[in-house]
Amino acid sequence: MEMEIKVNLGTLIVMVINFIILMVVLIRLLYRPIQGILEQRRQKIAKDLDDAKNTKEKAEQLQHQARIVLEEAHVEAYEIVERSKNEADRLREELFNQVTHEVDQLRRRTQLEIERSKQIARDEARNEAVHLALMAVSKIIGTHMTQDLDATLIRKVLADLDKEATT
Amino acid sequence: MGASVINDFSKALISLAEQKQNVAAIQRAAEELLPLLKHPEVRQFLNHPTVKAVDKKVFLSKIIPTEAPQEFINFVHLITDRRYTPLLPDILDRTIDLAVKVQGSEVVTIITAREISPEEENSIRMDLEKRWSTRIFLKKRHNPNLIGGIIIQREDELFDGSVLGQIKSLRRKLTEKSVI
Repeated sequence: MEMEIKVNLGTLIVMVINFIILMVVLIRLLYRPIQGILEQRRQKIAKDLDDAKNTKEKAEQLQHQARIVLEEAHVEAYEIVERSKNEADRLREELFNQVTHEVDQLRRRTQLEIERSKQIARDEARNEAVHLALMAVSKIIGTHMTQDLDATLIRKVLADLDKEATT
Repeated sequence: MGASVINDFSKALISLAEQKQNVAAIQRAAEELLPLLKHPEVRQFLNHPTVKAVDKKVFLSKIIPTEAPQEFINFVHLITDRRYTPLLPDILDRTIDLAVKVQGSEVVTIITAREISPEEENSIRMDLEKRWSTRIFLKKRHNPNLIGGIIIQREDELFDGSVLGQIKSLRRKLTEKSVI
C-alpha cells in the first residue's frame, strides 16, 4: 500500500524559485505597504491618544482655574456683602444719630422759644400793669397837686440837688 | 446851617455890644422882645414868605422896646433884610445867653409845671446862687405835663425833680427787662 511519491527535481526547483519570487513580490507589493499603513495607523492612534491626554489635562487645568476663580468670586462677593452690610449699619447709625441730634435741638429750641414767649408775655403784662398804675398815679397826683404842694416839691428838689445831680 | 447862623449873629451882636459897652441894655432889649416874637400870630406874620421885608421892619420897629440901643434895632433890621426872621427868636435867645456869660453870670434853665411867681423865681435863683457860688440868670419855661416839681438845667447837667421825671424813673425800674 505504500505509495511512492515521485518528485521531479526540476519541477521542485522551479516551484521553489516561483515560491521565492512570489514571496519577494508579496513582501514588496503587499506586506511592506500594509506594514506602512499599520505603522501610520499606530502613530495616528498614539497621536490621538496624546492629544486626548493633553486635552484632558487642559480641561482639568481649566476646571481647576475655574474653581479658583469661582472661589475668589465667592470670597469677593462675601466681602462685598459684608462691606455693604457694614456701610449700611454705619449709615443707619449715622442717620439715627443725626436725626436724634436734630430732634433734640428742635426740642431745646422749642423749649427756649416757649420760655421766651412766656417771659415776653409776662413782661408785657407787667409793663401794661405798671403803665396803667402809673397813669392812675399821675392822674391822682395831678388832681391833688396844689400850688403849695408844688412849691414844697420845688424846695425839696433844691434841697436834694447835690444828691440827684446827673450829667 | 441854622445853628451856625444863630451862633454867628449872636456873637457878632455881643461883640458889638462889648465895644459899645451896652451889653446889659442889649440883653434887656432882647429879653423884652423875645416873648413878643414867640407869640403865634407875630411868628406867623414874620415867617410868612409873601410879607415884604419892609413891612416886617416897620412892624418890628413898633414892637422893639423904645429904650433899646440903636445897635440892637439895626441888628434886628439886618436880620430881616437877610431874610433870617424865622431864626430871630433863637438868635435873641442865644444872644441873652452870651450876654449873661459876658457879664460874669451863668445861664440856668428851669422848667416848672406852672408859672412861678416872681418871689418864687427870686427864691430859686438865690438858692442856686448860694449853692453854686455864682451869679445866675434864670431862664424859665413852663410845661404842665410835668405835673409838679422842677427841672433844672445848668450847661450839660440836668436835675430832674419833676413828678413826671420821678414817674418815668419809677417806670424804668419796674419794667426792666428780664427776657432769657
